[in-house]
Amino acid sequence: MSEPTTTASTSMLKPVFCCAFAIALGSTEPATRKEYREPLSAEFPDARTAASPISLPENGSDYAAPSRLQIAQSVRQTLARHGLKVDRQQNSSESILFEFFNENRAGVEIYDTGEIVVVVSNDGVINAIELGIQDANRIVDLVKNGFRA
Amino acid sequence: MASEPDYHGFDIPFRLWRLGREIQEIRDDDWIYWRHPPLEPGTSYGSRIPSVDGKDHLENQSVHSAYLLSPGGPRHALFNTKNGCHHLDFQIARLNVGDLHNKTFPNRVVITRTKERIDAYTFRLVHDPHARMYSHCIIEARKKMPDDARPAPPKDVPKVLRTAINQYFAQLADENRPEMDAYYNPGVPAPISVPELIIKAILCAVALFYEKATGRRLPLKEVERFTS
Repeated sequence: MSEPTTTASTSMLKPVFCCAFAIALGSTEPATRKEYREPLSAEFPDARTAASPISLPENGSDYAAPSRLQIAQSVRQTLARHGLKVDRQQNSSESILFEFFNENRAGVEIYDTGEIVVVVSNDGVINAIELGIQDANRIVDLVKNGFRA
Repeated sequence: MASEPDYHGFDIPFRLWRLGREIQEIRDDDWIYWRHPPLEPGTSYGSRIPSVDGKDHLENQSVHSAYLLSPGGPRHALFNTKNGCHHLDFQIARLNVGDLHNKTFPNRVVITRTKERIDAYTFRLVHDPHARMYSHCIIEARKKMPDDARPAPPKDVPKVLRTAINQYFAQLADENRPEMDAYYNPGVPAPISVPELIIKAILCAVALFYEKATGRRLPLKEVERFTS
């Protein structure tokens, strides 16, 4: 007679146990081992490993506009010629960002649309300036010396 | 705005679930947690907080409110409610809500210089709870309208302003970097606390008793792990 009673009571307890365990499991911080990371950019290779050196068309020429990667490579080479080594490069779906961990906390971002934005920070004030590929000297000066009003 | 998760979310603590709780206003004295791929050791945030998926989400950046996440810690921001693939090895940036909520850019700290005049943008922190993550918020960029009462739809932020604001966010994150480095624990589960260990041990004992009494196992991974 006692067997059915035990079975009935344990089957009634099952949801309680399940809830208790779910709460206990839920009290921990993330511990799942599944790791997921998409590459920062699979679409755009590092400019350092890009194709052969390029020559950008002169202003006002009939050539097709250079791609973001070509502009980025050109900017990188120009900066390197002036002794400015890129400390970190971040590629996103719409831009390539060169970062310089110097005192100006400078960054040069090249967008799909061909816009080049130089951002420098002096004493906590952030200055962002929109420039073109023809303003190479200005880009170098801003990265080296920061913005001077 | 809230999207339902594709997976069950049972490995996310219940106290982080929404469970019918209401949408709240984000307080100016709150903090936000922003998860991101880890930086190289010893490097600063530089000009941008790294993106999780290689896209710039400046118009609708996903973050967590520290106040709404409590009593959970910053590492609870690593839960991925979309597919359950939690970002355990990610770092967490902390920003002060007061530094960005309802702020208009450009301003005296973030200055832009362009040939053409650009529109001003404001950033609002909007509580956007998910079913399995109540503390989820969005930093929403909106074009500043002459009449503030009139709502403006989210719109693409001009490139020059985008770069400047990304640097501003990175600068804010760097201010809290030393404290937040303590929460960087790549791939290793957080150490279990003693009371939690005791509770789990009791529950495991009960589970073993249950198994012995009924001949069946509780269908839970935790029990499997301890009894196998």
